[in-house]
Amino acid sequence: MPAIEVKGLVKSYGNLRAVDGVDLCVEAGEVYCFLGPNGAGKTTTVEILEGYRRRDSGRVSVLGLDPESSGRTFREHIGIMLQESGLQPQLAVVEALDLYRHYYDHPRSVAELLDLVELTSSADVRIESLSGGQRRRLDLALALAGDPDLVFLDEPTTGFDPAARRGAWRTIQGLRSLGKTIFLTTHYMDEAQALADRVAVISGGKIVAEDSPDRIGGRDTTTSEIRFLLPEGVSAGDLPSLEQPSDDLPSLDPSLDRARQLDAELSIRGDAVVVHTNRPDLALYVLTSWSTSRGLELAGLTVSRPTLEDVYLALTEDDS
Amino acid sequence: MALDESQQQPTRTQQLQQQPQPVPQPSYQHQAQQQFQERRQQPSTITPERLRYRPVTSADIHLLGRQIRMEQLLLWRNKRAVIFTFMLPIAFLVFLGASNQGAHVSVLGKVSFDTFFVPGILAFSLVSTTYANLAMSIAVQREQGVLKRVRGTPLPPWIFFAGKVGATLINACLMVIIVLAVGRFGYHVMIRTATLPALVIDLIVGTACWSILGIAMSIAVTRAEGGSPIVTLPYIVLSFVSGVFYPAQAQPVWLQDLARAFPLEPFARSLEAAFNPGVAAPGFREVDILIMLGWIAVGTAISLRFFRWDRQRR
Repeated sequence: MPAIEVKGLVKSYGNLRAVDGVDLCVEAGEVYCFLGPNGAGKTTTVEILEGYRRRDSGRVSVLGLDPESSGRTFREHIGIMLQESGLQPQLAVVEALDLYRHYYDHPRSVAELLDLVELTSSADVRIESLSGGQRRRLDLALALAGDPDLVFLDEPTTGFDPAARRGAWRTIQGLRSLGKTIFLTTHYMDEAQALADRVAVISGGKIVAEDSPDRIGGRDTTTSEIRFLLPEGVSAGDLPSLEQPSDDLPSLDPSLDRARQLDAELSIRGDAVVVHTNRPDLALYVLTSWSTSRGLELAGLTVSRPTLEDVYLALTEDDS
Repeated sequence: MALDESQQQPTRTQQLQQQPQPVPQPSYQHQAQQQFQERRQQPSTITPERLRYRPVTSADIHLLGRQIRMEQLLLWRNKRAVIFTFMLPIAFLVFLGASNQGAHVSVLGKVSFDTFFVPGILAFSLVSTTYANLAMSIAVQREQGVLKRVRGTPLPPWIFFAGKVGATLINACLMVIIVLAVGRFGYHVMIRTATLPALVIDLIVGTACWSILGIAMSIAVTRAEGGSPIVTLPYIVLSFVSGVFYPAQAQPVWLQDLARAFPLEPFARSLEAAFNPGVAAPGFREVDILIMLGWIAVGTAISLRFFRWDRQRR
């Protein structure tokens, strides 16, 4: 049974349809990353799932319950890390943990929570004296205080330094290995890439793409870019022809148009050679056979596919 | 007002106890799966939370105790709130008394000024400890996102509010003791045993009224930083027209009538009646109490209808 199941979710504010027929399904035990620009309906959707907002129509099941009406039982099993911290600044870290863990029937211990987010040494510090990153880690600890089955993390690493971010990622991966379901929103594409089992992109109140981070938006099949420096003493005309691949190129179907299958386009930018192709493996084969037969080195060689960020920006163009 | 899910669903510990014996590594997933299945068997149409009655358990009372302790801790750690809620009324008590030594209030049948203003200050200080303190604390916590966070936990809302009000009532009791002690030993204002029941009832109704109004007023505060005039202005203005510091009878009649429509004047008058030796026992002022009860109804209705857990968006 999925941890979250949403069918035809609609929510309007006046004339604005903030969420316009969203379907999504999050399997138990996966890290599901929900991406979208501000104002695309992301927060509204998440807040409906968390039980903060009422929907206009659609079916919502979270841990088999309706978040709108299941109250205390529902909240017993979820953990929420909000974007705005929401902490009483006059409390010490350990006091806040002790306060919030008692709201749950089966909480984690304070020591365990401190350890989980590496705040043990700051246990007695007042929240008002914590750094932004430490505060965020305390937020995470509080979201986990009730040992929830499902954790909502809303931009969990905003304001973290790189080391702290890796630390948070390890914590999130640790939760995943415990079988927890994690519903994550973030503006950091590297975070989605590193953590998510699946990514959904919402734009204009609708889900425009949903897949694994490596496949979303056709990332795995779209054009790749090969780039290297033009070797010394070689002119552009000496490069092998990719537009007209020679007949001995393996793995291309001889009955089809060979140029179209490779679909390569070579250009020179300054002293760099840039090749766009659908089959980087074959283009590289042609290029490296050519260079090795001449004893040349392709310095600065890189092969890149569109990043998750490229795909995300293309998918959400209409929103910005 | 205890509201929640029925407790038919077995708790996690019960489930663990039912399980054969130490389940090794994958126990968590197995357990989670079991929970999912059990939840699935529940009817899909669940009665809205607020329509459900859930008896108050001893665990709830324990939670309430923790909330009250925490709210007390927060108040005493917030220096500005301490100064505002406690120091201000005490300062009024001391300076107003000193500047009117030996004066008499003729309109009340020639009682000493002290007997008039000590109950007035008592009313004022209780408004300040309950109304101003609750309104600001709730507004600030809404701004900070504390309310939203709390709403996302299983803590029942009634315990959250009861914790706040409970902590406030402790302060109110403290305030009553301070003011009455200063009145008794500083100004020789005696507590009359004959009107003691009236005094207690007046204190309870007035405190409840201004606590509810504090919760209701917190809704109007959209930016809580630096003490909001929306909260302080109404009761400061009211305290000048409601005969708290000086007898209201010197004011034009229309202003007296206007002040009577709000709950500070009735609160102060009813307390004063309990102290005024010229008023016969038992000293109840039923109309004043009814006016305050009316405001309790208004405050409750506003709070139930308009209370927000999150900051205003859009």
